[in-house]
Amino acid sequence: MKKCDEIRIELPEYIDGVLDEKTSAWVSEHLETCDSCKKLHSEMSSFLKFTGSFPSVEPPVGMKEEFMELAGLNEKNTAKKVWFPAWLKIAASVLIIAGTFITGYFSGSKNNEITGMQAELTTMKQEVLLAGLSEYSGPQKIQAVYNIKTSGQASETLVDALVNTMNSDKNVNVRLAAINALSEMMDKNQKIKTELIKSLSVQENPLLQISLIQVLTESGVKEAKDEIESISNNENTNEQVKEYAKNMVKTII
Amino acid sequence: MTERLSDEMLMEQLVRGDKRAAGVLYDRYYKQVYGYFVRMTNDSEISRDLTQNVFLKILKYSHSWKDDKVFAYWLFRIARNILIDHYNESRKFFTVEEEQEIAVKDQAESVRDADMKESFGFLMEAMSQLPPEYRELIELNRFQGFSYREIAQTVLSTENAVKVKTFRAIQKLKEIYTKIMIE
Repeated sequence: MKKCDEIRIELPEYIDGVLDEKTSAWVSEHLETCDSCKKLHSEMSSFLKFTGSFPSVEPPVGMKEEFMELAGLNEKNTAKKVWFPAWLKIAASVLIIAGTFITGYFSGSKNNEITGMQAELTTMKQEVLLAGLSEYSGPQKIQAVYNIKTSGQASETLVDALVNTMNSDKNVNVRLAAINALSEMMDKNQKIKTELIKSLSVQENPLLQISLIQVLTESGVKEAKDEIESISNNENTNEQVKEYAKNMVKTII
Repeated sequence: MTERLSDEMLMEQLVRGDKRAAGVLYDRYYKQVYGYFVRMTNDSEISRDLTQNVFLKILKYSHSWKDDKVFAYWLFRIARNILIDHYNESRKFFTVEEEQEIAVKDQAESVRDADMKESFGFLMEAMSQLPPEYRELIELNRFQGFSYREIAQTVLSTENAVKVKTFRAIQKLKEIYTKIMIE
Protein backbone atom coordinates (compact mmCIF):
# COMPACT_ATOMS: atom_id res chain seq x y z
CA MET A 1 0.00 0.00 0.00
CA LYS A 2 2.86 2.31 0.78
CA LYS A 3 4.08 1.91 -2.76
CA CYS A 4 0.59 2.64 -4.09
CA ASP A 5 0.51 5.91 -2.13
CA GLU A 6 3.88 6.91 -3.52
CA ILE A 7 2.80 6.05 -7.05
CA ARG A 8 -0.51 7.92 -6.81
CA ILE A 9 1.13 11.14 -5.83
CA GLU A 10 3.13 10.98 -9.05
CA LEU A 11 0.04 10.44 -11.19
CA PRO A 12 -0.77 14.07 -12.11
CA GLU A 13 2.73 14.63 -13.45
CA TYR A 14 2.73 11.19 -15.05
CA ILE A 15 -0.48 12.10 -16.89
CA ASP A 16 0.99 15.45 -17.90
CA GLY A 17 4.07 13.62 -19.22
CA VAL A 18 6.50 15.72 -17.25
CA LEU A 19 8.04 13.04 -15.04
CA ASP A 20 11.63 12.08 -15.60
CA GLU A 21 12.18 8.86 -17.53
CA LYS A 22 13.10 6.72 -14.54
CA THR A 23 10.11 7.72 -12.39
CA SER A 24 7.79 7.45 -15.35
CA ALA A 25 8.95 3.88 -16.03
CA TRP A 26 8.50 3.04 -12.36
CA VAL A 27 4.89 4.31 -12.45
CA SER A 28 4.12 2.50 -15.73
CA GLU A 29 5.45 -0.73 -14.35
CA HIS A 30 3.31 -0.45 -11.25
CA LEU A 31 0.16 0.42 -13.22
CA GLU A 32 0.60 -2.81 -15.17
CA THR A 33 0.23 -4.86 -12.03
CA CYS A 34 -2.04 -2.82 -9.72
CA ASP A 35 -5.71 -2.64 -10.64
CA SER A 36 -6.72 0.01 -8.11
CA CYS A 37 -3.94 2.39 -9.17
CA LYS A 38 -4.76 1.68 -12.80
CA LYS A 39 -8.39 2.60 -12.16
CA LEU A 40 -7.38 5.79 -10.37
CA HIS A 41 -5.03 6.66 -13.23
CA SER A 42 -7.80 6.25 -15.75
CA GLU A 43 -10.28 8.37 -13.76
CA MET A 44 -7.74 11.07 -13.01
CA SER A 45 -6.60 11.14 -16.59
CA SER A 46 -10.15 11.83 -17.86
CA PHE A 47 -10.76 14.42 -15.17
CA LEU A 48 -7.55 16.31 -15.85
CA LYS A 49 -8.24 16.22 -19.56
CA PHE A 50 -11.60 17.79 -18.80
CA THR A 51 -10.16 20.51 -16.55
CA GLY A 52 -7.50 21.15 -19.19
CA SER A 53 -10.20 21.90 -21.76
CA PHE A 54 -11.69 24.63 -19.59
CA PRO A 55 -11.85 27.74 -21.79
CA SER A 56 -9.84 30.73 -20.69
CA VAL A 57 -11.84 33.44 -18.97
CA GLU A 58 -12.23 36.48 -21.14
CA PRO A 59 -11.54 39.78 -19.33
CA PRO A 60 -13.96 42.69 -19.83
CA VAL A 61 -13.27 45.01 -22.76
CA GLY A 62 -11.26 48.14 -21.98
CA MET A 63 -9.18 46.83 -19.10
CA LYS A 64 -5.89 47.75 -20.73
CA GLU A 65 -7.02 51.32 -21.39
CA GLU A 66 -8.29 51.55 -17.85
CA PHE A 67 -4.94 50.38 -16.48
CA MET A 68 -3.00 52.81 -18.65
CA GLU A 69 -5.18 55.65 -17.39
CA LEU A 70 -4.83 54.58 -13.78
CA ALA A 71 -1.09 54.22 -14.09
CA GLY A 72 -0.76 57.51 -15.92
CA LEU A 73 0.82 55.75 -18.88
CA ASN A 74 -1.63 56.83 -21.52
CA GLU A 75 0.47 58.96 -23.86
CA LYS A 76 -2.29 59.51 -26.38
CA ASN A 77 -4.59 61.18 -23.93
CA THR A 78 -3.11 64.00 -21.95
CA ALA A 79 -6.35 64.99 -20.26
CA LYS A 80 -6.70 63.37 -16.86
CA LYS A 81 -9.65 61.09 -16.52
CA VAL A 82 -11.15 59.46 -13.50
CA TRP A 83 -11.85 55.78 -13.68
CA PHE A 84 -15.44 54.81 -12.90
CA PRO A 85 -15.98 51.10 -12.28
CA ALA A 86 -19.29 49.47 -11.31
CA TRP A 87 -21.76 51.44 -9.21
CA LEU A 88 -21.09 50.62 -5.61
CA LYS A 89 -17.46 49.86 -6.19
CA ILE A 90 -16.52 53.34 -7.34
CA ALA A 91 -15.48 54.39 -3.90
CA ALA A 92 -14.42 51.06 -2.45
CA SER A 93 -12.03 49.75 -5.05
CA VAL A 94 -10.85 52.78 -6.95
CA LEU A 95 -9.77 54.51 -3.81
CA ILE A 96 -7.67 51.55 -2.87
CA ILE A 97 -6.15 51.25 -6.31
CA ALA A 98 -5.56 54.95 -6.91
CA GLY A 99 -4.40 55.36 -3.34
CA THR A 100 -1.97 52.51 -3.55
CA PHE A 101 -0.42 53.85 -6.70
CA ILE A 102 -0.26 57.48 -5.76
CA THR A 103 1.02 56.73 -2.25
CA GLY A 104 3.58 54.38 -3.72
CA TYR A 105 4.62 56.92 -6.27
CA PHE A 106 5.25 59.54 -3.66
CA SER A 107 6.78 57.26 -1.05
CA GLY A 108 9.19 55.30 -3.24
CA SER A 109 12.30 57.26 -2.29
CA LYS A 110 14.44 56.62 0.73
CA ASN A 111 15.86 60.07 0.60
CA ASN A 112 14.77 62.00 3.70
CA GLU A 113 15.08 65.36 2.06
CA ILE A 114 12.84 64.33 -0.78
CA THR A 115 10.41 62.74 1.70
CA GLY A 116 10.27 66.04 3.60
CA MET A 117 9.61 67.99 0.43
CA GLN A 118 6.94 65.52 -0.52
CA ALA A 119 5.24 65.93 2.86
CA GLU A 120 5.23 69.68 2.38
CA LEU A 121 3.92 69.29 -1.12
CA THR A 122 1.18 66.97 0.15
CA THR A 123 0.10 69.52 2.75
CA MET A 124 0.04 72.26 0.15
CA LYS A 125 -1.86 70.05 -2.23
CA GLN A 126 -4.34 69.25 0.51
CA GLU A 127 -4.92 72.91 1.28
CA VAL A 128 -5.48 73.70 -2.37
CA LEU A 129 -7.84 70.77 -2.72
CA LEU A 130 -9.79 71.68 0.38
CA ALA A 131 -10.14 75.27 -0.75
CA GLY A 132 -11.30 74.24 -4.17
CA LEU A 133 -13.49 71.33 -3.23
CA SER A 134 -16.71 73.27 -3.46
CA GLU A 135 -15.86 74.54 -6.93
CA TYR A 136 -15.00 71.28 -8.61
CA SER A 137 -17.35 69.42 -10.91
CA GLY A 138 -18.26 65.77 -10.11
CA PRO A 139 -15.35 63.82 -11.63
CA GLN A 140 -12.78 66.43 -10.64
CA LYS A 141 -14.14 66.40 -7.14
CA ILE A 142 -13.81 62.64 -6.92
CA GLN A 143 -10.21 62.97 -8.04
CA ALA A 144 -9.73 65.65 -5.39
CA VAL A 145 -11.16 63.39 -2.71
CA TYR A 146 -8.83 60.59 -3.82
CA ASN A 147 -5.86 62.88 -3.52
CA ILE A 148 -6.92 64.06 -0.08
CA LYS A 149 -7.25 60.49 1.02
CA THR A 150 -3.75 59.65 -0.10
CA SER A 151 -2.24 62.41 1.99
CA GLY A 152 -2.40 60.08 4.99
CA GLN A 153 -3.36 62.87 7.41
CA ALA A 154 -6.66 63.43 9.16
CA SER A 155 -6.78 66.97 10.51
CA GLU A 156 -10.03 68.46 11.83
CA THR A 157 -10.33 70.70 8.76
CA LEU A 158 -9.89 67.78 6.44
CA VAL A 159 -12.40 65.62 8.30
CA ASP A 160 -14.94 68.45 8.39
CA ALA A 161 -14.56 69.06 4.67
CA LEU A 162 -15.03 65.39 3.89
CA VAL A 163 -17.99 65.06 6.27
CA ASN A 164 -19.60 68.04 4.62
CA THR A 165 -18.98 66.49 1.19
CA MET A 166 -20.34 63.13 2.37
CA ASN A 167 -23.57 64.66 3.68
CA SER A 168 -24.32 67.45 1.27
CA ASP A 169 -22.67 67.00 -2.11
CA LYS A 170 -25.16 66.79 -4.96
CA ASN A 171 -23.23 64.05 -6.72
CA VAL A 172 -23.75 60.54 -5.33
CA ASN A 173 -20.36 59.36 -6.59
CA VAL A 174 -18.61 62.20 -4.81
CA ARG A 175 -20.45 61.32 -1.61
CA LEU A 176 -19.41 57.70 -2.04
CA ALA A 177 -15.79 58.72 -2.51
CA ALA A 178 -15.99 60.82 0.65
CA ILE A 179 -17.50 57.95 2.65
CA ASN A 180 -14.68 55.69 1.65
CA ALA A 181 -12.00 58.30 2.16
CA LEU A 182 -13.33 58.82 5.70
CA SER A 183 -13.56 55.11 6.37
CA GLU A 184 -9.90 54.74 5.40
CA MET A 185 -8.98 57.37 7.99
CA MET A 186 -11.23 56.02 10.72
CA ASP A 187 -8.39 55.04 13.03
CA LYS A 188 -6.73 58.44 12.73
CA ASN A 189 -9.53 60.58 14.10
CA GLN A 190 -12.24 59.50 16.56
CA LYS A 191 -14.70 61.99 15.14
CA ILE A 192 -14.91 60.09 11.85
CA LYS A 193 -16.63 57.09 13.37
CA THR A 194 -19.32 59.28 14.93
CA GLU A 195 -19.82 61.22 11.72
CA LEU A 196 -20.18 58.06 9.65
CA ILE A 197 -22.82 56.76 12.08
CA LYS A 198 -24.65 60.10 12.06
CA SER A 199 -24.60 60.09 8.28
CA LEU A 200 -26.66 56.89 8.30
CA SER A 201 -29.68 58.94 9.25
CA VAL A 202 -28.83 61.68 6.74
CA GLN A 203 -28.42 59.61 3.59
CA GLU A 204 -31.50 58.69 1.63
CA ASN A 205 -29.86 57.22 -1.43
CA PRO A 206 -29.77 53.38 -1.15
CA LEU A 207 -26.24 53.17 -2.57
CA LEU A 208 -24.94 55.54 0.04
CA GLN A 209 -26.81 53.74 2.80
CA ILE A 210 -25.35 50.43 1.69
CA SER A 211 -21.88 51.91 1.43
CA LEU A 212 -22.09 53.32 4.96
CA ILE A 213 -23.42 50.08 6.39
CA GLN A 214 -20.63 48.25 4.62
CA VAL A 215 -17.77 50.39 5.92
CA LEU A 216 -19.16 50.48 9.45
CA THR A 217 -19.86 46.78 9.75
CA GLU A 218 -16.64 45.74 8.06
CA SER A 219 -14.71 47.89 10.47
CA GLY A 220 -16.68 46.33 13.33
CA VAL A 221 -18.03 49.64 14.67
CA LYS A 222 -20.26 48.43 17.50
CA GLU A 223 -21.73 51.89 18.10
CA ALA A 224 -23.36 51.72 14.66
CA LYS A 225 -25.50 48.74 15.59
CA ASP A 226 -28.57 50.69 16.79
CA GLU A 227 -28.58 53.02 13.82
CA ILE A 228 -28.26 50.15 11.33
CA GLU A 229 -31.05 48.28 13.08
CA SER A 230 -33.23 51.35 12.92
CA ILE A 231 -32.61 51.54 9.14
CA SER A 232 -33.56 47.89 8.72
CA ASN A 233 -36.77 48.46 10.73
CA ASN A 234 -37.76 51.67 8.99
CA GLU A 235 -40.69 51.04 6.64
CA ASN A 236 -39.49 53.76 4.27
CA THR A 237 -36.15 52.08 3.71
CA ASN A 238 -35.49 50.48 0.33
CA GLU A 239 -36.08 46.71 0.53
CA GLN A 240 -32.55 45.80 -0.62
CA VAL A 241 -31.02 48.15 1.92
CA LYS A 242 -33.24 46.66 4.62
CA GLU A 243 -32.11 43.18 3.74
CA TYR A 244 -28.47 44.26 3.59
CA ALA A 245 -28.69 46.08 6.93
CA LYS A 246 -30.35 43.07 8.51
CA ASN A 247 -27.62 40.73 7.34
CA MET A 248 -24.69 43.01 8.04
CA VAL A 249 -25.78 43.96 11.55
CA LYS A 250 -25.34 40.32 12.50
CA THR A 251 -21.64 40.61 11.74
CA ILE A 252 -21.17 43.20 14.48
CA ILE A 253 -20.30 41.29 17.63
CA MET B 1 11.31 45.93 -30.25
CA THR B 2 10.20 46.04 -26.60
CA GLU B 3 7.67 43.32 -27.36
CA ARG B 4 10.46 40.84 -28.05
CA LEU B 5 12.20 41.22 -24.73
CA SER B 6 11.82 38.63 -21.95
CA ASP B 7 9.64 39.46 -18.94
CA GLU B 8 12.71 39.91 -16.81
CA MET B 9 14.36 42.26 -19.32
CA LEU B 10 11.17 44.30 -19.41
CA MET B 11 11.26 44.55 -15.63
CA GLU B 12 14.80 45.86 -15.84
CA GLN B 13 13.60 48.48 -18.30
CA LEU B 14 10.81 49.40 -15.94
CA VAL B 15 13.27 49.76 -13.07
CA ARG B 16 15.32 52.09 -15.26
CA GLY B 17 12.22 54.23 -15.71
CA ASP B 18 10.89 53.07 -19.04
CA LYS B 19 7.21 52.85 -18.20
CA ARG B 20 6.30 51.44 -21.63
CA ALA B 21 7.55 48.09 -20.37
CA ALA B 22 4.60 47.99 -17.94
CA GLY B 23 2.15 48.07 -20.83
CA VAL B 24 3.88 45.15 -22.53
CA LEU B 25 3.90 43.10 -19.33
CA TYR B 26 0.25 43.96 -18.84
CA ASP B 27 -0.59 42.68 -22.33
CA ARG B 28 1.26 39.45 -21.64
CA TYR B 29 -0.28 38.60 -18.30
CA TYR B 30 -3.52 40.41 -17.57
CA LYS B 31 -5.74 37.65 -18.96
CA GLN B 32 -3.97 35.03 -16.85
CA VAL B 33 -4.19 37.17 -13.75
CA TYR B 34 -7.85 37.98 -14.39
CA GLY B 35 -8.58 34.26 -14.91
CA TYR B 36 -6.77 33.49 -11.67
CA PHE B 37 -8.96 35.91 -9.73
CA VAL B 38 -12.17 34.79 -11.42
CA ARG B 39 -11.53 31.17 -10.53
CA MET B 40 -10.44 32.07 -7.03
CA THR B 41 -13.29 34.48 -6.23
CA ASN B 42 -16.02 33.53 -8.70
CA ASP B 43 -16.67 37.26 -9.02
CA SER B 44 -15.90 39.04 -12.29
CA GLU B 45 -16.21 42.61 -10.98
CA ILE B 46 -13.89 42.06 -8.04
CA SER B 47 -11.49 40.20 -10.33
CA ARG B 48 -11.30 43.20 -12.62
CA ASP B 49 -10.32 45.51 -9.78
CA LEU B 50 -7.88 43.06 -8.24
CA THR B 51 -6.19 42.52 -11.61
CA GLN B 52 -5.64 46.27 -12.05
CA ASN B 53 -4.30 46.42 -8.53
CA VAL B 54 -1.70 43.73 -9.28
CA PHE B 55 -0.21 45.69 -12.14
CA LEU B 56 -0.31 48.95 -10.24
CA LYS B 57 1.60 47.21 -7.45
CA ILE B 58 4.17 46.05 -9.98
CA LEU B 59 4.74 49.65 -10.93
CA LYS B 60 4.87 50.63 -7.29
CA TYR B 61 7.33 47.94 -6.29
CA SER B 62 9.37 47.83 -9.47
CA HIS B 63 12.29 49.32 -7.52
CA SER B 64 12.38 46.17 -5.37
CA TRP B 65 12.73 43.93 -8.41
CA LYS B 66 15.85 41.76 -8.37
CA ASP B 67 17.13 40.32 -11.59
CA ASP B 68 17.53 36.82 -10.15
CA LYS B 69 13.74 36.49 -9.92
CA VAL B 70 11.37 34.92 -12.38
CA PHE B 71 8.77 37.50 -13.25
CA ALA B 72 5.80 35.10 -13.43
CA TYR B 73 6.35 33.80 -9.87
CA TRP B 74 6.77 37.30 -8.57
CA LEU B 75 3.61 38.39 -10.37
CA PHE B 76 1.55 35.59 -8.88
CA ARG B 77 2.98 36.19 -5.45
CA ILE B 78 1.72 39.76 -5.71
CA ALA B 79 -1.64 38.51 -7.01
CA ARG B 80 -1.83 36.08 -4.13
CA ASN B 81 -1.08 38.75 -1.53
CA ILE B 82 -3.69 41.04 -3.05
CA LEU B 83 -6.23 38.24 -2.89
CA ILE B 84 -5.42 37.56 0.76
CA ASP B 85 -5.76 41.28 1.56
CA HIS B 86 -9.05 41.36 -0.27
CA TYR B 87 -10.43 38.52 1.78
CA ASN B 88 -9.16 40.04 4.97
CA GLU B 89 -10.83 43.33 4.13
CA SER B 90 -14.10 41.94 2.90
CA ARG B 91 -14.21 39.16 5.48
CA LYS B 92 -15.54 36.91 2.82
CA PHE B 93 -13.36 33.92 3.18
CA PHE B 94 -13.85 32.10 -0.07
CA THR B 95 -17.62 31.93 0.26
CA VAL B 96 -19.69 30.97 -2.73
CA GLU B 97 -20.93 34.15 -4.35
CA GLU B 98 -24.18 34.56 -6.18
CA GLU B 99 -24.11 33.20 -9.68
CA GLN B 100 -22.58 35.65 -12.08
CA GLU B 101 -22.23 35.86 -15.79
CA ILE B 102 -18.57 35.24 -16.45
CA ALA B 103 -17.56 35.59 -20.05
CA VAL B 104 -15.57 32.71 -21.41
CA LYS B 105 -13.63 32.79 -24.60
CA ASP B 106 -15.23 32.34 -28.01
CA GLN B 107 -14.07 28.78 -28.11
CA ALA B 108 -16.63 28.04 -25.41
CA GLU B 109 -19.26 29.80 -27.47
CA SER B 110 -18.38 27.63 -30.39
CA VAL B 111 -18.68 24.53 -28.27
CA ARG B 112 -22.24 23.96 -29.25
CA ASP B 113 -22.73 21.26 -26.78
CA ALA B 114 -24.68 22.89 -23.97
CA ASP B 115 -23.76 20.04 -21.67
CA MET B 116 -20.12 21.00 -21.95
CA LYS B 117 -20.87 24.56 -20.86
CA GLU B 118 -22.92 23.23 -18.01
CA SER B 119 -20.05 20.98 -17.01
CA PHE B 120 -17.70 23.96 -16.88
CA GLY B 121 -20.23 25.69 -14.66
CA PHE B 122 -20.20 22.70 -12.35
CA LEU B 123 -16.42 22.74 -12.35
CA MET B 124 -16.41 26.40 -11.33
CA GLU B 125 -18.86 25.58 -8.57
CA ALA B 126 -16.72 22.67 -7.43
CA MET B 127 -13.68 24.99 -7.41
CA SER B 128 -15.51 27.47 -5.20
CA GLN B 129 -16.29 24.72 -2.72
CA LEU B 130 -12.66 23.64 -2.40
CA PRO B 131 -10.70 24.75 0.65
CA PRO B 132 -8.75 27.90 -0.34
CA GLU B 133 -5.34 26.26 -0.13
CA TYR B 134 -6.42 23.47 -2.46
CA ARG B 135 -8.15 25.88 -4.82
CA GLU B 136 -4.96 27.84 -5.17
CA LEU B 137 -2.93 24.73 -5.96
CA ILE B 138 -5.43 23.66 -8.62
CA GLU B 139 -5.40 27.14 -10.08
CA LEU B 140 -1.62 27.38 -10.27
CA ASN B 141 -0.96 23.81 -11.35
CA ARG B 142 -3.86 23.05 -13.68
CA PHE B 143 -4.92 26.46 -14.99
CA GLN B 144 -1.70 28.47 -14.91
CA GLY B 145 0.48 25.48 -15.79
CA PHE B 146 2.99 25.98 -12.99
CA SER B 147 5.19 23.00 -12.07
CA TYR B 148 5.39 21.89 -8.43
CA ARG B 149 8.74 23.61 -8.11
CA GLU B 150 7.36 26.83 -9.54
CA ILE B 151 4.37 26.68 -7.19
CA ALA B 152 6.69 26.06 -4.25
CA GLN B 153 8.57 29.24 -5.16
CA THR B 154 5.34 31.18 -5.52
CA VAL B 155 3.64 30.09 -2.31
CA LEU B 156 6.90 29.71 -0.39
CA SER B 157 6.62 26.01 0.35
CA THR B 158 8.58 22.86 -0.51
CA GLU B 159 8.25 21.01 -3.78
CA ASN B 160 7.31 17.79 -2.01
CA ALA B 161 4.62 19.42 0.11
CA VAL B 162 3.16 20.99 -3.02
CA LYS B 163 3.20 17.63 -4.82
CA VAL B 164 1.32 15.85 -2.02
CA LYS B 165 -1.19 18.64 -1.54
CA THR B 166 -1.85 19.08 -5.25
CA PHE B 167 -2.66 15.38 -5.55
CA ARG B 168 -5.12 15.70 -2.67
CA ALA B 169 -6.56 18.87 -4.15
CA ILE B 170 -7.24 17.13 -7.48
CA GLN B 171 -8.88 14.23 -5.69
CA LYS B 172 -11.02 16.57 -3.64
CA LEU B 173 -12.04 18.60 -6.67
CA LYS B 174 -13.00 15.44 -8.54
CA GLU B 175 -15.01 14.28 -5.55
CA ILE B 176 -16.93 17.58 -5.21
CA TYR B 177 -17.46 17.81 -8.97
CA THR B 178 -18.86 14.27 -9.11
CA LYS B 179 -21.16 15.04 -6.20
CA ILE B 180 -22.49 18.17 -7.94
CA MET B 181 -23.04 16.22 -11.18
CA ILE B 182 -25.02 13.54 -9.35
CA GLU B 183 -27.18 16.08 -7.53
